[in-house]
Amino acid sequence: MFDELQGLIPEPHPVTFRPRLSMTADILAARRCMRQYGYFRHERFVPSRTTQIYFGTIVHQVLDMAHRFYEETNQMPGDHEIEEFFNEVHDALVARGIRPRSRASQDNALEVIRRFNQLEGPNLYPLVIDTECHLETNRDDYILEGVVDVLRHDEEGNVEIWDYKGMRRPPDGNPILNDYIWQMRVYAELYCQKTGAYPTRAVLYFVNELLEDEHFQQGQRPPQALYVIEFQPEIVQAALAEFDGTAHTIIDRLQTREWPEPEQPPPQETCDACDLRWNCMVAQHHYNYHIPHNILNIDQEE
Amino acid sequence: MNDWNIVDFVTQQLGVELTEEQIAIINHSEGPARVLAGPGSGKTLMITLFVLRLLYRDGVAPEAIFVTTFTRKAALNLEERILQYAQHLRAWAEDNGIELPDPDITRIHLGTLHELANDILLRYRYGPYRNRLLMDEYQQALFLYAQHPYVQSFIINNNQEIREFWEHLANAPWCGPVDTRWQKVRKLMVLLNRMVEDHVNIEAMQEAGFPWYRLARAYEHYVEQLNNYHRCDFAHLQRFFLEFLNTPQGEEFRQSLQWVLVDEYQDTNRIQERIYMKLVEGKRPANLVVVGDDDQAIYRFRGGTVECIIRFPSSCQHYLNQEATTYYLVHNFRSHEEIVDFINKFINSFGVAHLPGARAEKPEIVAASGINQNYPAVVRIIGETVPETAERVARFIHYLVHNNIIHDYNQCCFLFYSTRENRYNAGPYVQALNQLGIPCYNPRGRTFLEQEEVVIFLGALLSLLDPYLDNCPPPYQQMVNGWMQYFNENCNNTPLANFVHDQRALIEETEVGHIANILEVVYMLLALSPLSDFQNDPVRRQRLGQLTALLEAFLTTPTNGGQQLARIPIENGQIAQQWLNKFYYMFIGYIKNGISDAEDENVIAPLGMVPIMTIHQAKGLEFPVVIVDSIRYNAQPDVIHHLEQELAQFYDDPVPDFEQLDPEQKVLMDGVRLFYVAYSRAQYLLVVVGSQNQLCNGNVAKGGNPKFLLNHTIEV
Repeated sequence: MFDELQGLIPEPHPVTFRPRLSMTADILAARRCMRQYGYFRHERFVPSRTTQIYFGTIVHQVLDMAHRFYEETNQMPGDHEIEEFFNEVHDALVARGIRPRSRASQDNALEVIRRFNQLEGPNLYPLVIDTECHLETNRDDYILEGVVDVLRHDEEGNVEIWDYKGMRRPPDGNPILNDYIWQMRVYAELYCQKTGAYPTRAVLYFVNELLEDEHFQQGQRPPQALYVIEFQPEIVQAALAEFDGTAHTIIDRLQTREWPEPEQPPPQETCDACDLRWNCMVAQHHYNYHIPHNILNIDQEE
Repeated sequence: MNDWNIVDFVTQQLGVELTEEQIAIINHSEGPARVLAGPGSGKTLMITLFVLRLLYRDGVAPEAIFVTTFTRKAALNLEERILQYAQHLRAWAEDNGIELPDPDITRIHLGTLHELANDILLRYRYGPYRNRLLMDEYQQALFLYAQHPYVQSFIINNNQEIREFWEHLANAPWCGPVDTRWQKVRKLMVLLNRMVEDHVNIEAMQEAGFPWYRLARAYEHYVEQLNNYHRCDFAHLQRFFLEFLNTPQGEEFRQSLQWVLVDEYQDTNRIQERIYMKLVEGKRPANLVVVGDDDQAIYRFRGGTVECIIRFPSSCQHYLNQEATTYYLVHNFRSHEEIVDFINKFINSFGVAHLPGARAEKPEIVAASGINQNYPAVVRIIGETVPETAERVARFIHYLVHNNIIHDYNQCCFLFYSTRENRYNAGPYVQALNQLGIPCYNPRGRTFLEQEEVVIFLGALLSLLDPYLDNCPPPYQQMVNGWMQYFNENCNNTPLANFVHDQRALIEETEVGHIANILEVVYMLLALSPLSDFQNDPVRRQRLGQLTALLEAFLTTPTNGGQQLARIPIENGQIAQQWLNKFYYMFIGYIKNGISDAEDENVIAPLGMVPIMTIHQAKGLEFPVVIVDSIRYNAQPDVIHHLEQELAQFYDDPVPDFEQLDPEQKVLMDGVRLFYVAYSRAQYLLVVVGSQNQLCNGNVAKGGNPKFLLNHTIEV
């Protein structure tokens, strides 16, 4: 009956398409810990604590509003405006279930932003070209996306990338710091592809260094707050190649759906905040003996 | 600009001969256009080539092109196609000494409308949308349950008008029961979403008297609460976007666009129609190209309004004051010519398909795949009973593979109206396949709550929180008891059970205290065997992941008392009753009624397995062999069809609707379209299956007259 159908149907061929990978949510997260990344980005797990994202989110959003305020009014936002922006964002985050770890953490966030605004605002805001600037590029088998916090001119009119980090500055050689440096190099490349030229430099701004009183009270920026990265094309290319490696690992993992524990344990803060720590072999020295755990005692907020 | 033609590139580099109709579309130079594209007519290719023409020949900036697709996956596919063809185009241009611009394709606005709206509102930092939580269907339901006054019994009891509103609805023949709070929530959700998607004039509704002004009030309450709690649902996201387009910033965005392309326009809704029109309104020419097929509109239940594509020319006339060109893609490059003939005859066999307003006027589709070998391409397997049919179908699949007609089981796709593995749907077929050792891929074949890992997880959680079911409301007792029993019988002495036991003892020793964050405890449960072992299986792991997401959504639902649900109070050695009540009524109450079986975009057909999917999931896909069950499907009017008719009086819609079908006719036509989509997925072989009995009962799949199926298929 089906003789003529024999040999007609070709072999099946898999359909593939290149994924879009975000610099922070995919590449950096996967480099930190592939297991954590896979579970929370691709397997629908939702983290139990949102306190980690509170600080970074509120700092970025309020600073973005401060930039916009200057752009629209040509005036420096004062403490009063900063507090207003802060409360607006805070209320919205809390209404969405994103809370600060503690009252102190909330106060710190406000203080950091206030200090940043006072110390950096007058010089920085007038030189800003764009904030929350989206950059993306087509790598052969994936599309890389990133968001640059601030594009600004320097005093000579050259372009700089600024990226705010809601933390203290990690010591030199720390893998997290290294990844941030590589991140800036890749942003430089994305920027170059968009405009045809590299930015002069990138600046990582570790905003929590502003909590240190000594310099701030003398109206000085704490020297630890800034980390400046210059660009050399070879190093930028090396950074891209390294990130390509991570991207390819992710693309493979998306097929196999296996999310192994990392060979090197991530920094302790990462594991401390990770819901998968209870049976994680890499982090086991820290956590596994907590099981059985007294669930009544788990209270980070007090 | 170079003088070259995209058609030459396609012929010379890709070796594809385009039809005249395709060439006309690719060369459409300006103004609104509608492409009515039949199944398998290569519309993705057309959109791809059209975009390439804009970018490389016309020099349009990628940021000036706005392309929407129906799903995220379709967007990724389209982007991939554009990137690949651009590579070919550049190679061809180099060979021919043609200079091309170098646009960055990733900067095209390409995605689903929801996705693009969200992106653009965030990028422009549109004030009213700032910092809102975009709720999915589940979060929206919980939010309404917890917040909306219309569903709270003490308010209903004390407010005569709200009571009468529900009584009125309950008496409407189309409404279905609205007795319990969840039934009210679900009904209200349909109404509110539909009001937004249909772009209903709320003021007109206010003035329309009972019961309409009550519904308008319900809507206002809801909007107020969305604002108070910084939330947004998917329907309102579109509304925000439309409002944004009317602001100066929105104007700036509109001006940055030169071309708007819309795929799957048949499943668009009224507010989306407004958005697309607004994007190009006032421009001369208004470059809006919509592509779709009214015969493949199957999303009315999710707000799709097939009428938008049918009346596109009059909408263009009204909003844009411009004539729309209509193009037809009638050549089918997918299917055997007998299959094409069958689907043409199928749709025409229904009287309703010939009524004015039922379909857009267009020529019949024409077979052009070159597949015309002499074998029966449309066959039926009709057994005495369902199990007998299933057995014959399984043997047939076995035959196909063992005679090398197909190379892999995944080339043979099973389509059902519902893929549930019960005796009415996929159950007997899965069983018959298993008996012959044929593996099948049906990740959603069982209800979520029947999955072992889900039962054990819930059993463990309940054993911790309320082991004696002291506080379990009667309607849930049997179900919850079943979970706990399964957990107790199957997990005895496991690390999970021991942990639960120890922790429960701690709770019972505590006079006053609390569990700080129950979700954190959930992750401890997941770290223990057997729950940890389940995570080696990707499918089970995802279900456990989904459970954490469901729980988190429940725990972050704003409550009237303002307490955080994640923090559980303990009183006298017990979880506080008030908390347990919320847990049972909100969380368990929701999941009891079924985790939405919405189409999963990532449904795949792994090698070595027969894929089993719903007709909705198969939208846009094709398979060498397609087996369609559900001939028992009986089109029945439901809420949506009646609601559309009722709400029509409030449409804030200046474009006169053409003559519309009445609800019974609409529902039948929707069913016809559904099976039109199912049947047109097949490339080489279409198999219609069912039992004698089902054949007698169904009113759609078997065609518009009693003998249709028997006359147009061959028994195997």
